[in-house]
Amino acid sequence: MATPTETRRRGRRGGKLNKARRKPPVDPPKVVDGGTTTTTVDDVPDHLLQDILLCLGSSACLVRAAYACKRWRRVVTAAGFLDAFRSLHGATHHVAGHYHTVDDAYDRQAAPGAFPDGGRSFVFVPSDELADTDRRRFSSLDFLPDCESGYSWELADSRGGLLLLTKMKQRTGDGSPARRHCFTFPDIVVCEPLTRCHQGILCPPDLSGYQCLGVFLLDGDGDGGRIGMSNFKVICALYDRYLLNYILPLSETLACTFTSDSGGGGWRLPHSTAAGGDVTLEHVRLDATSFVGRANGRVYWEIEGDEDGDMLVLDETTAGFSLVTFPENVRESYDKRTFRIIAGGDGVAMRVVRVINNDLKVFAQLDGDGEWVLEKRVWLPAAARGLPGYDEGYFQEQNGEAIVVAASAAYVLLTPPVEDTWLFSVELETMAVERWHERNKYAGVAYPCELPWPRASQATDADQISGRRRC
Amino acid sequence: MATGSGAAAAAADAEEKESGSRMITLTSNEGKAFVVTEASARQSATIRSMVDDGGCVDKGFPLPNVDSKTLARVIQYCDEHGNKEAHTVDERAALAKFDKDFIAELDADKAFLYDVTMAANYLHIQGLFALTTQCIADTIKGKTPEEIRTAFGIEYDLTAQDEEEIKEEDTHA
Repeated sequence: MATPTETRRRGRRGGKLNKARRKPPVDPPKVVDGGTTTTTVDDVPDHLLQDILLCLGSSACLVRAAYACKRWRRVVTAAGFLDAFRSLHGATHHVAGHYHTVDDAYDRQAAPGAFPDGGRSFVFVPSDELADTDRRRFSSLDFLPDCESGYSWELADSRGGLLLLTKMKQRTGDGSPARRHCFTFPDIVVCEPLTRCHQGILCPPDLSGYQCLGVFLLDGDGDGGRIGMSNFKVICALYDRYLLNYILPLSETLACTFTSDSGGGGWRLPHSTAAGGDVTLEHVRLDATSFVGRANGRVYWEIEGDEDGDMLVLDETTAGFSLVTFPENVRESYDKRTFRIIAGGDGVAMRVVRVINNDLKVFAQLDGDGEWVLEKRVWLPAAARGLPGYDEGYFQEQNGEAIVVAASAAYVLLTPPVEDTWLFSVELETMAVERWHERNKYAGVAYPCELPWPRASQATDADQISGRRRC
Repeated sequence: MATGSGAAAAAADAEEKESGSRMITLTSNEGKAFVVTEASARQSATIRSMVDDGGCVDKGFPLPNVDSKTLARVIQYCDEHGNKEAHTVDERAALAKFDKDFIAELDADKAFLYDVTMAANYLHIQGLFALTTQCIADTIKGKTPEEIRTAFGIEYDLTAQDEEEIKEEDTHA
């Protein structure tokens, strides 16, 4: 019964492809026909369609919906819709998926077969709502330039829809303890998987011999701070080794920032140490640093075996380094495998995740007076007992502490002290312990990658267009 | 008869208490009358404000934008939510089950689902509107643009320029 009316209406519209904008149906397109009526989604007014699309809760779905037809695209790209969507769902819902890496300290037994193309040390796990076509594009980074033999692109950071990769020596399969936190300034590539754009960034010649602590992506200064291929920054934390008076081996930190074209372009090298933003240490100490996290515009490294409990800190805004010490209750029985820094938010400047006597503890530093409080705790041996594959021997006291493999604002990935292939995670919101998530298959950091927003149909923004052409 | 403000308030209170059992007539655009309890009718913010403003309760409310079939279904929802208690866990669970069955049935008839959505919007029945819009949104989830067009019977109307832009994004290399 519904079909004849529908066909007629479609036929009418289909014949006028050049019509700039479809007029809203003048008459209610209801045909009273023995009490039945036919309504299509086209009869639903724009403001209701907007309410419906706001219910989607994931920008992955929204991007696809925006390409269904002109009208839907117009509704999604209309002024105010984006803000309404964001205020309803927050930023976390734009995630297309996560790139999971595997840490050096662990082998790949935990995820056999998960890394099909051999050289690559990460795998893309899409979020549930992501459409199949997008899954394929995020999964395949085959547009990246080739590396010379023995090298591969490794994931170093992600931000918005961009990934930052560094060219690293491929790991040898013999399980040699590669100290990944100690390497010379690498070549870098920044890419956007969805559009398959990439930009290679070469190390500045002056700094090629410097040791690298890490490279990180930052928002650019243009485009309202929205990160994109034409609007991003890379900050590189380095140190230089030298001998003071030919005897004392010292290292001095420095950070340099690369800005994409719209922000002026190129590397900005540090001016001098006059700003007081650098730290000089005996170089054995800097050689022994490990990245432990990033929060509140700062990057943190622990210094192994440091008696004073100092940590090295890089301020992302000023590119200056300093040393900080955490309070005793946070630092207690310190070990880098049981210490991670994660982002705060909502009145919390930052959080520290610790394992102390197999208690997983979350400490929060409050905004304002900077006071540290113990926010949450869960005793891992008891919490993990019910999980599939649990073994009574995993948490025996003589084996030591559970190990933090990775931590994000949402969850912590752990292994028992003696079995590094048995991964489990703790959801920080609820402190619930589980093994069923896909994330528990990969022993390493997971980098989220977001979907960009659909652009309005009449994209006339010169920056956007030139940015796209350049790729 | 209400001489003082206190007495007026008391009278209003009494009226309020009575209101649950008062009957209200809603008339569809086909002229069919539906008699419902006031508690049921108050699920609609539109009718609620008309009643509270001292509208013509006795004469009933004509609803020129809603047909009989749609109104009957909307009333089914309002009766369930207006006339039944939702204080205990069991009562709430029963209501949740009603919602689930209600929307599952609607989902099978998309044209009707849109009608009920528009009526819920017109009558400002918040719970029903949230239920139907979420149901439509769930149909969009996880689909490609092509699948969305098929599911919703949407005509492909993108211009050559739109297509080129989308294609560029799809095959960027």
